Amino acid sequence: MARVPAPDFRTLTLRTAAISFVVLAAGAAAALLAAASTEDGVHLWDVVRTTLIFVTTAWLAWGAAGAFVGLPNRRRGVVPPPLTLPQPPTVVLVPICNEDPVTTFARIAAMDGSIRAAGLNVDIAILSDTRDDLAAARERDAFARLLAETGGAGRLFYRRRMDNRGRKAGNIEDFIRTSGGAYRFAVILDADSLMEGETIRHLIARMQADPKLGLLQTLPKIIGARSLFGRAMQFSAAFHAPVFARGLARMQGATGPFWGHNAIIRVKAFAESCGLPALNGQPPFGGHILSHDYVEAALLARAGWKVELDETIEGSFEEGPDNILAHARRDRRWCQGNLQHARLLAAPGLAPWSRFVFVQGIFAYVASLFWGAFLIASIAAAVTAPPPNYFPEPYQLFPVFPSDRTKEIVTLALGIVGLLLLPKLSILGAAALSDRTRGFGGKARAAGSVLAEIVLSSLLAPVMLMYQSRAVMQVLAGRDGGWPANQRGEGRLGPGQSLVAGFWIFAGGAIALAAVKMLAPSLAIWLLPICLPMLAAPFLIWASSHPIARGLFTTPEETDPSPVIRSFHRWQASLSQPAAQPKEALDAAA
Amino acid sequence: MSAERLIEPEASTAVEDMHWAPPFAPIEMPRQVLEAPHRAGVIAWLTRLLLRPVQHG
Repeated sequence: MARVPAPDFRTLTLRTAAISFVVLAAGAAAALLAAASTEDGVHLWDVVRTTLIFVTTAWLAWGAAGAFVGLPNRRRGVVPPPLTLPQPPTVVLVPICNEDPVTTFARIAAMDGSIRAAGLNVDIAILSDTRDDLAAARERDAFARLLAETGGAGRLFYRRRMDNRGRKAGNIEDFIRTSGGAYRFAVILDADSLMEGETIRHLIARMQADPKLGLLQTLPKIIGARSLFGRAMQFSAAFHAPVFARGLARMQGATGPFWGHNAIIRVKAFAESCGLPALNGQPPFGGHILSHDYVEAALLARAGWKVELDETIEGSFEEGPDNILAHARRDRRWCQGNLQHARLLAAPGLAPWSRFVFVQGIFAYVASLFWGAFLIASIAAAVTAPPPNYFPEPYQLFPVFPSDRTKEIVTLALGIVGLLLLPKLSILGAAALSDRTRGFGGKARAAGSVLAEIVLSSLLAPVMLMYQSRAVMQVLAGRDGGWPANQRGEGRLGPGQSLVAGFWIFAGGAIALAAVKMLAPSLAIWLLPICLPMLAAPFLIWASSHPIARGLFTTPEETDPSPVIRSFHRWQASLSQPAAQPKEALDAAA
Repeated sequence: MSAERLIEPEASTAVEDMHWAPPFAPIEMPRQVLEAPHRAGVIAWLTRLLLRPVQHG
């Protein structure tokens, strides 16, 4: 297969514009800080913090640039390609590992019904990596019941690996090696994914229409959140994420992202190019590739296949963490996976943009350390600054007072806050103009939800920064976080649990504030927005895990759930009841 | 109601049957080369240099 073509003019222009914006914003931030801090001469700490503000602002500006690029809607009136008959053989893959089988198989029953309602003939394969024998026994019983109640024998499959080498990537790879020859396309899901049959029909048609398309990624909407934290994320994923994803899609072009699930692959392309080796050495940097999805996207592009993201595809869903601890646990795994990509930066033959995506992923985590380092450098600069010299010239009659640089510092602070807020406010403005706010409860309610999300994310940002910094340092220290099982639906946290989990952040905030108050009291007020949420970390962790009423953070999927979501809830209720038929009859039917 | 309460593993009788398994249709999936060879240059050398000390504690 030919190498991936060079990015088109539009993609190149957008990339150039985004990078120029980043350099300008970071340069302006560095210039303002340099002007303010070198009033008394250039010192080492001034150079350090000016460099750090350049790097950290560049990261913020990159996020903002993605949103600005994604703000304009896609061209309207593009007719999706029809499905060409005969329908190519397709399978939906659901890798699971120690999941609650009732909930998982209720999703599968709902998708199976939706697929048949869409007139498709698509198999579903449950690929179990469950290690615990008792949990596996429960899976078997639940699957036997699923077969009996759906009549799914011959289209619903279940197999359990005895050796779960390579974790999820290895699980998918094992299926492709063993059964891939039977299918042209595979829809890869997570255990908590849901997808409409019509969506799968659309994905197959898109793959048929473009023979060079190796992978098409959808933007899954988060559903089922109940807590303050979960619902804020769910709202953000529905309201903000499509714009950020559109920006990402435009800038990545044909070397798009793969997020590991809710995507369709061309089995031949995947088999040819995505056999992942284990890296030399021990985890966290060696061993099996943890964040395999980014690597698989890069490998497909290397082999000349197009990888695209289309955020407009509806009917694709997933669930998210319902509290900060579950989020931090998942983030620890992603952190290790992204830092491991440092080993692959020089992998032969990758598209330059694929390497850049690896760098971005690494930076997403290392940025937390840079912010921490910037704060420390700022305190060190204040502590080590020489006292003002009011009489710099000999025989000077009148004192020279240092000029006031408050204006530069305030401008810098406003600029950084602007980079954080402007994308979200722009998305709100664009949504209000296009009437997209209707599904979010109307303009006023959507505006309220956006503002509440901004307040909550600002409060939680220092807590997240601490968790991320700890994760990065653990990985750099050589500690392997492994792949802890997801604890879906764990939800509400108790006060003791929150205190234990957040005490170290509280202690860090208290020590930082006391140290600043003692060493550089003038900086204390600037550090309050960071230190106060740190002091409140146990409370924030506890409070944000509690369920909230549906008025705030309303999403379209709540007010008008997709048919597959309704069906999932019906199946969940049904499978939660004892089987109507005797067990022997179920086994016979299975 | 979770599966723990609904299904008693000790009493479970379902046995993974042949027809539960996906169709057998093997295809090749060659292992890809990801790590740069030693001659690949400065980035690989720097990456190894930076990561090796921390990797081994």
